[in-house]
Amino acid sequence: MIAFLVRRVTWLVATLLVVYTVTFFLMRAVPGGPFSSERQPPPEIREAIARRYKLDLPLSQQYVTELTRLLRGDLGMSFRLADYSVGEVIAEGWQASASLGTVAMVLAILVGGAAGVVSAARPGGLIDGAVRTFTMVGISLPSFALAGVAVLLVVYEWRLLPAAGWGTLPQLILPAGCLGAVYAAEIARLVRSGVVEAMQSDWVRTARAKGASHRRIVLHHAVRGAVGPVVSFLGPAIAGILTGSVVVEKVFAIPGIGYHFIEAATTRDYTLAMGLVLLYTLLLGVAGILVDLVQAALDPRINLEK
Amino acid sequence: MPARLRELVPWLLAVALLAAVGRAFWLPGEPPADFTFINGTEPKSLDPQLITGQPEGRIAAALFDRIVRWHPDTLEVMPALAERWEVSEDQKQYVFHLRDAVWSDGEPLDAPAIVAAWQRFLDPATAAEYSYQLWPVRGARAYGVGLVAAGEMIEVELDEQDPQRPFARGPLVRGQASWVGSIANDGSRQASDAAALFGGSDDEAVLVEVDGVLYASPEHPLVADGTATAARAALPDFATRVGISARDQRTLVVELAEPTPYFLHVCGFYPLAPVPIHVIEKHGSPNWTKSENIVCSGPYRLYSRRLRDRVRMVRNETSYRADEVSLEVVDALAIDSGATALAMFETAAVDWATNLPPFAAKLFIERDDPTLRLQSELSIGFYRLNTTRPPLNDPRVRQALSQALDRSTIVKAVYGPGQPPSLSFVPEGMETATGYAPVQTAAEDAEEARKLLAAAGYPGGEGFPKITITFNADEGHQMMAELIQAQWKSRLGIDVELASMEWGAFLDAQSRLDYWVARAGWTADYVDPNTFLDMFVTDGANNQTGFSSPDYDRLIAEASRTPAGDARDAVFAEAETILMEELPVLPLFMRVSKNLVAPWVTSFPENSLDIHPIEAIQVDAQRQSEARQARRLRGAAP
Repeated sequence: MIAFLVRRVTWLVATLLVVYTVTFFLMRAVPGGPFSSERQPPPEIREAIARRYKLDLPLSQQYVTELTRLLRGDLGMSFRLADYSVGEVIAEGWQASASLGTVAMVLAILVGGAAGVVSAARPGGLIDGAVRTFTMVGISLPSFALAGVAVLLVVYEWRLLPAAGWGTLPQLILPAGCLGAVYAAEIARLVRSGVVEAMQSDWVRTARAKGASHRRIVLHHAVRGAVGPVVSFLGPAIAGILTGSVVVEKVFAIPGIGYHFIEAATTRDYTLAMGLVLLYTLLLGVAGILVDLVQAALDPRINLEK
Repeated sequence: MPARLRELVPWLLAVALLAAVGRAFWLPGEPPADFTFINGTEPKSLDPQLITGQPEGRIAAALFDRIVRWHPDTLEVMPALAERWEVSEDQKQYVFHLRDAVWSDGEPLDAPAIVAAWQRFLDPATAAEYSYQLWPVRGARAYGVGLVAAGEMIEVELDEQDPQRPFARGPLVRGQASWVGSIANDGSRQASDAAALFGGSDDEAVLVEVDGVLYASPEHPLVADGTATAARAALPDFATRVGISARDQRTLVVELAEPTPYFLHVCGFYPLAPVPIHVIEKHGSPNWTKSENIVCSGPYRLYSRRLRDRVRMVRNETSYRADEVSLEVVDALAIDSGATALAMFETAAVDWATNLPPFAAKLFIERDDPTLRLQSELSIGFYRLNTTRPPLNDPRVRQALSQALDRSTIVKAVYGPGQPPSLSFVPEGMETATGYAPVQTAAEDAEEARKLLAAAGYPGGEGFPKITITFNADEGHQMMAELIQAQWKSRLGIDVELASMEWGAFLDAQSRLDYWVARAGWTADYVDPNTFLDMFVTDGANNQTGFSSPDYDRLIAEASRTPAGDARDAVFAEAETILMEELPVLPLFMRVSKNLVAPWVTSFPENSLDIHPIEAIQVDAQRQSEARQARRLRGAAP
């Protein structure tokens, strides 16, 4: 396992370096800069601003300076949120994104898991048909459309929940539901196919031959077949959900990392965008390693050394 | 892995999940504010000297007082930190008599505090974008650019730290610069007449000599070997060369280089608000803006700030204006999606929404909704024409493009009624505000437009190259460009393409003159025609059309030397006549501010700069709380 970890972490560090380089040059190749504005100050002031943020240095020098700073663990000051360091932005945004993401993910696992099992228990039945239709819609429906419909009905029509904002429980329900729905659909599909496949397996036939009830077979034996694919899916999904959802956070005005991400890109906030890209890469990498560790822990057939 | 341990894994995962869920429901809820408004995009900073945008300005104006302020309805200059002032005969000297004001920590906000704050505003190390607003002051521009020359009085800021005030400027060495220049590696000296700032460690790095001592930036090789003394900056001597001084604790004296009629008005602009230097020296920038450090002077002070969520302000009891303030707690929400803002407004979650999506604005106007407040702004929507690119370098072509347009039909189709078209670059509202009557360009005349185009060598649009209208991605901009495209096609017979661009790329293309026709907008910084007309001087930072006219430049310079009055207005009118004949810009429409204000807001000041001081807003709390409970803006639940 040590060899496995060393190998994966080395790869992760190499990936981070490549991502840093590509992001650095891509961002500076895009026209416009963090201080371009519709009202241009006189050129002398533009120069003073460039000097203050060291944007007047040659690109190669900027590349090295920024890399050295990052290696010290300092993500720098945000250009467009000038009162905050990138670290502070992430620390603040993280809390909202993590709250929203956790609730959405738990909803997705509970609803999606249950729907998948029920659906697979009687393949081809009425419930199965309904669940499969819903998962199809859920997977293909973009989240902004879902959020739009939810706002129209729940907020405008029924006046049940607040339209947007952050800080109270009612404000959490709608965005978590919208965000979770997409993942729930995906999990339902994975669970259903995993269980259906397991129902054809030898061990299920054995259980049936021993006289186990249908309920016991589905819930105790066949369900295990779905755990692998779901865990594989959850790794990257959790990394994604923790770094925030761009659409849902924007529609419901949630001060999470996804919102910062899109704003950092559109306003050319070089330091913030870099910090978030690296964070996402890191999370994705760590989630991948954790998934493999959990898979190995759950399934004795998996050997990490290979 | 032993089987026993393996059995534990699912349980461990479940416990982790439970802990995460428990953490997730720990939410930062706060009791609702007395007044909540949608402030648009997240403020760049709370430091009034470092900001330029409207969302930032709303907060800065509530937190930081200026020496004068603008009347909430008429925008006339009113006393604020200065109780009264005298202006000299030649309009070049202002003497402000200050009231006995304090910061929210009880420290005095007196004349020396204002001088120190304005010095920071001008300091090139602050890199304040709006600092040129103070450039009319004698010596301010040279200080702001950091121009030092041999023979002049300069101040050298030594690279030393005071542990008590770790972020203060270093000790100053003041004296006459005996030499300014650079020293090469071989020791040869290269004098320069005037140099801006020093920095870097290469041959070109600038050094200064005062009283036989050489000063250079801390990284300079000559500092390491002891030849030169480390200094952070060398600037013109502020005390003797910049016209900002404290005559005594309560008297601030400002001397201008030229009579600048709008200077007094600019003093009420938020970037000129004094900042608490004593706090900045203690905590540094930007740390002084954190809610635990910040010290305010306005009718409000900062209570808390959550990034991209809200800025919460509470009444500042130490302000001399505290009694005039009716709202105790105010939340400014950082929400830039118009649709979200509308949903929050309609469900009574906010009392005022500043950013209305265009489709909704049209709908509200059509149904004559009283919650929508329309107010014409000192703001113009226009197209820039790139006068460096043929055929747009021919004034006849630009006139033809202008006269072929039926502005009222276009503007009404895009924005609905209530957004008047404009034939002048200075919006009409300037006349009521200052008495200056804007000069109009020739009105719509398709026949004349065709003649002009033919005279330029393109009869019936024949041989006219394909030009492009560039705009930043937006439904309204797109629609307007399509209508203009259609009119130019049908009336002039020319083909025009449309290009929608992302904001940053769009601004970049405009400043590099990499466009044919580009959409633009401009809002007055202060109430004076100069804020619109000085844009188009040769190589002006906001000219961006390549337009250059020596006559125009001369007139704008003349206006800056002329005291306010009819003579100055006549000079501006002459300049605008040139602009409206040469047409580097096509004025299209006067912008109208659109604010959604809830029915229970009983006092909401409005003016032509779309500024609504929070301290002057009042609400009927009873009706507000009923509406909040029902989540309904109007009427009871069905």
